[in-house]
Amino acid sequence: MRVFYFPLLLGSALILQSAVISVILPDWFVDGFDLPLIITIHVAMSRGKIPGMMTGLVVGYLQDAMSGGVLGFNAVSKIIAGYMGGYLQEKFFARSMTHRTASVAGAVFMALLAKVAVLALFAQPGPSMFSAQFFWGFAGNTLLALLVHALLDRFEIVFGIRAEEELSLGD
Amino acid sequence: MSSSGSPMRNFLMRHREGLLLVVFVLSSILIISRQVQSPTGMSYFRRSVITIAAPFQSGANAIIGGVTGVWDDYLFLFGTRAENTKLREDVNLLTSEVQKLREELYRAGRLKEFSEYRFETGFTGMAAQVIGESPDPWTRTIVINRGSEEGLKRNLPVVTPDGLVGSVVETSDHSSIVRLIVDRSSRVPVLVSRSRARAILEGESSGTCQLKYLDRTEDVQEGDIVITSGLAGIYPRGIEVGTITQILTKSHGLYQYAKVLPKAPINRLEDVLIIRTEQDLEGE
Repeated sequence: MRVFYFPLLLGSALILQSAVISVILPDWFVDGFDLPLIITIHVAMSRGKIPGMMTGLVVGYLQDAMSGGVLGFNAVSKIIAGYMGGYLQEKFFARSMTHRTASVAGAVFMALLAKVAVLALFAQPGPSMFSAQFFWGFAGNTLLALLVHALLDRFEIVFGIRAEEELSLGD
Repeated sequence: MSSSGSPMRNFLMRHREGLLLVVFVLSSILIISRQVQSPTGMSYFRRSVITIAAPFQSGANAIIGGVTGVWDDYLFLFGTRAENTKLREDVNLLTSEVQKLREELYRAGRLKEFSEYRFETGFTGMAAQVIGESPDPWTRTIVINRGSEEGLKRNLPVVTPDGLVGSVVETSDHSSIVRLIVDRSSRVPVLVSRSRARAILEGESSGTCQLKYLDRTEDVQEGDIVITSGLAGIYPRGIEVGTITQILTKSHGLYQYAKVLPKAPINRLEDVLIIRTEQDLEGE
C-alpha cells in the first residue's frame, strides 16, 4: 500500500486537476486550485525536505509536459514548495493550527513567487506578483491545502500509511 | 586520506538538503534555457507523458460526464413513493434513453455545424473531442482525442464554427495539446474586419484577449469583429476570432490597445475542428 500510495496520489492529483477541476470550474477560479502543489507541500510537511523536493521535481515536470508549455517552470516552483514545506515544518514544528496555516501559506507563497521569478527571468508571459491571479492563487491554494492536508492526514492514519504519532497536528 | 575525506563528507551530509535544492533548481533552469532557445527540445519526454496521461484524462472525463448525467437525470427521482418503483424504473430507463439520444442528437448537430462550416469556408479538417485541460492553472491549453496517427501536426489551427480556438502545440499518437488563444503565450496576427487595421492578439489567461501593436491612428470601435490576417502562416485568413469590447488608448505612445472577447466558447469547449492548411497539405 505504502509503495503505491504516493505515485497514486500524485497521478490522481494531476488527472483530477486536468480532467475535472480545470473542466468544471470557471477559469478565474481554477487559479486558486493547484492540486499538484498542494500534494507536494503535504509530502514535504509529512515526510521532510528531500521527499518534498523529489515529489516537486517529478510532479512539476509532469505538469509542464501535460500543459504544453516550456518544461521546467512548474518543476522549479514545486521543488521550492517541497523545500519550503519541509523547512517551515521543521522550523516551526507546526503543531498548532496557526503555525500550520503560516507554514502552508509560506510554502505556497514561495512556490508562486519562484514561478513568477523564473517566468520573468526567461521573459515568458505570466501574471505579476501584484496581480489578482497571484493573490487568488496564494489565498485559494492555502485554504484548499489546509482542507486537503487534514483529509490526507486522516486517510493515511486510517489506512496505516502513517502512524498517528507522526501527525504534525497531534494536539 | 580518510581524515581529508571526512570533513568533505560531513559537509555534504550536513548540507545535503540545501545542495539538492541548488542542484534541482539549477538543472531545471538549464533545461528551461535550452527549450527557450530551441522550442522543439524535450519533445520525446512530453510525447510519452501525453500518451500515458490521455487515456486517464479521457476516462476521468467520461466519469465526470456520467456522474453529472446521473445527478441531473436520476437523483431527484429517488424520493418518489415506493409503489411507483415499477414506473420509476421505466422512467429511469426512458430518461436514460432520452439522455443518450439527446447527447447523440447534440453531437450530430455539432458535427453538422462543423460540416457546414467546412463547406462554407472551404477548409478541410477533422473534428475532435476535448478530453482534458491543462493541469497548470496559469496555462490555458486543452487536450483533444486526435493525434499524429490521425495526421495532426504542430501549429495546425483549431476552430469551432463560432470562431478561432487556438493551435496544436504538441501531438502524441492519439491525443494532442492545443494552446488556446486566451493563453498568455498565444500570439495571433489579426485584422479588424471593418477598418482592416492590423494588430497582434495576445491571450490574457482570464478568458479574454488583448489587441496589441494597433496603430493609435487606426479606426477601431467597440463591437468591431476581429479576424485572422493570414500572416505568419499558421492561421488561414478570415477566421472570426472575437469582438472588441473595450478600447484602451493612453495619452502617450504609438499604439492603442483593445480588449477582445473570443467568439468561440473557450470555457466550455466540447468538440473542435482542426483545420488542415494549404501549407500542411502541400507538405504531405
